[in-house]
Amino acid sequence: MPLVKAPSGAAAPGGTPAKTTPSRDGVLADLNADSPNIRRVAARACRAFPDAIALIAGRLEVEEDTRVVEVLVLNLVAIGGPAAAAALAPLLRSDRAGCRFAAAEALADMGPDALPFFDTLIRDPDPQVRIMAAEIARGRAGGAAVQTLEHLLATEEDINVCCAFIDVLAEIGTVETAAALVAVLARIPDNPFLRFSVETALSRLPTD
Amino acid sequence: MSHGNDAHIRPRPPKRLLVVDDAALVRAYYRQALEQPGGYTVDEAFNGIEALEKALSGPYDLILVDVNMPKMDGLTFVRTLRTTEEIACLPVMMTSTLNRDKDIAAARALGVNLYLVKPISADDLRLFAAIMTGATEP
Amino acid sequence: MAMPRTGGDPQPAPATVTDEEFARFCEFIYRRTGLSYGEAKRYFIDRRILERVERTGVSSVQSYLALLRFDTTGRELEEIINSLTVNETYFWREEYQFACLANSILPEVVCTKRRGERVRIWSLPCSTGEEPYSIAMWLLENWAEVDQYDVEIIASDIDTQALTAARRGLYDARSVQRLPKWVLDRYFERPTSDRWQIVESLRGSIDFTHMNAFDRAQMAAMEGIDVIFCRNMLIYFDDVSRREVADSMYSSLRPGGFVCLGHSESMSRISPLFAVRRFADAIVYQRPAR
Repeated sequence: MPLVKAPSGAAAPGGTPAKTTPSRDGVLADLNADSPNIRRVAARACRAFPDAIALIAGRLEVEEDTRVVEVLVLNLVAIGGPAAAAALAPLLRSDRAGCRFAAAEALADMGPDALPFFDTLIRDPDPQVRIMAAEIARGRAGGAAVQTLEHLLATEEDINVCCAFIDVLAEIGTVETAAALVAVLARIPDNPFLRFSVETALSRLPTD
Repeated sequence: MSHGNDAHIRPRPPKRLLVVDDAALVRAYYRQALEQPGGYTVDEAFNGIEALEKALSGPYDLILVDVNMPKMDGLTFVRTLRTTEEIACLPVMMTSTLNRDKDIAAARALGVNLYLVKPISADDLRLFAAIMTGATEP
Repeated sequence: MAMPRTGGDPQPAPATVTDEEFARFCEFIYRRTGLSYGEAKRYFIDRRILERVERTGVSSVQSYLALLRFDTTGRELEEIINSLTVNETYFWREEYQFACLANSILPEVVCTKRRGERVRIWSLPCSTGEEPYSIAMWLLENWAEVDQYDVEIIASDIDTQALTAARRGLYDARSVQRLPKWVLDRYFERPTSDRWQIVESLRGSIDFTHMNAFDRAQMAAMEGIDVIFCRNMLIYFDDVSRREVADSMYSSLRPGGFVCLGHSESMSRISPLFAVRRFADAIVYQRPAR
């Protein structure tokens, strides 16, 4: 019979001797190692440090590997709070596409702590930042973000930003959202994609 | 009775496109622009990972892909596609709100065949899809 | 069919799902899970939604959609997904994945192993044991190289009652209905006419362990795994929880190791950590070798 069990129940997590906790200096060095695998393990370990947010934010500024970014961002969501949200917010303007969206998703998962940053980022002068900020509204703070998106839609000049807002509103909007959509179409009547977006979104919004 | 015109009579199978965008309204717009008037068969994917799953289960004649998407962005998708043997040669049309020269250059360097800046009209979509798939005579 | 009610019930259950509610529901489920439904499934979906509206006692389909989106416990999502995807456990369920394991995954896994080195397969969650026993029987019967490697099957669940049942290995006719007779004859005993029990040697060869997938320290103790079967668990978790579990699974896998999800699940909604691999029998996910 080729089926075997682990020697002395080593498969059971409780039966495994605790691994030695890595030293702080070791983790900090590993966080900048050449190997993404080593950086990833260090990123997992640094969640427990009291100054984790600063360490993670520092690494996130330069980290290129998706798998390491994922761990760093997950740490911030797990730690939570305004300081963690503050570390994520600047990443929405990152040149790394994966990093931008990972940060937006993380802020979406953070709920109320992300709201003050959403309120700022959604008014950013850079339309690309506004587009990414709209993603935050799909998350746990969505209810509070709906009115902000409706309000800003009334004056938003960039077609792509308008359409990004409309896509989010089609998902999370309320009965009142319809008026904001009708208004933007009246203001910008001749863009076919915007027209399609508004008409489709209107057909998906709740009606009573 | 002549048999010489059979090739013209037999309809060609519709070209299959994969539309990759996390925004539901964008996918719906591309679908209505390409499916009915364009005669394409359109499948959808939500991000780069789902696009790889579908591309590997293809075949497709063309992939339209956005840049900003959750879990796997469009650039990472194209990089992965170009190094995945079975699907490495698939033509890719990238559509994005990013319009800086460096964004376009980065996409080209990864193997994007055509880069279009959003918003894109339905006519342009059909025109470029036709060119990329060889669906119409030049 | 919603019947007119008499007395005492001011809000009878809604009898229909509007087009916009249907579209919204489908988009939510697609965005959340990757499950994609169109008009062809309209009747089926409408029935499921209306059933849940009635069971939960909310006043309208619209309120139900709000409940689904904002229920932080995830229980309602679990209920509706269960009603959309028939989710029950039985032997050789989704057997195409076991075929994939024997035909494609393990041949690749053993390429990097020395002869005699162990192959470690982890069933998480294992529920009442049908999955790990299925893996064992399938490999013993169908994997050509089964005699050349030691195979270790670890089976974990958070539910201690399920684990007790799994260790006992006693099943009813429904559980074993997909198994061919010769498999039943070879690997089961019949304590009574309507019960089948896994033979003792097979029961004794699987490691059943208690495991909370959310516990990072517990998960971190599991190392050097070649293949994880994680079917029909992550689809029910919220975004952050499933990303965490995916991250823990990644850490438990050897570089080049594989994850098999349930047929309704896609890593595209869960985590960016894994590479997509398409084999003849199934799509699975791989921790990159480097």
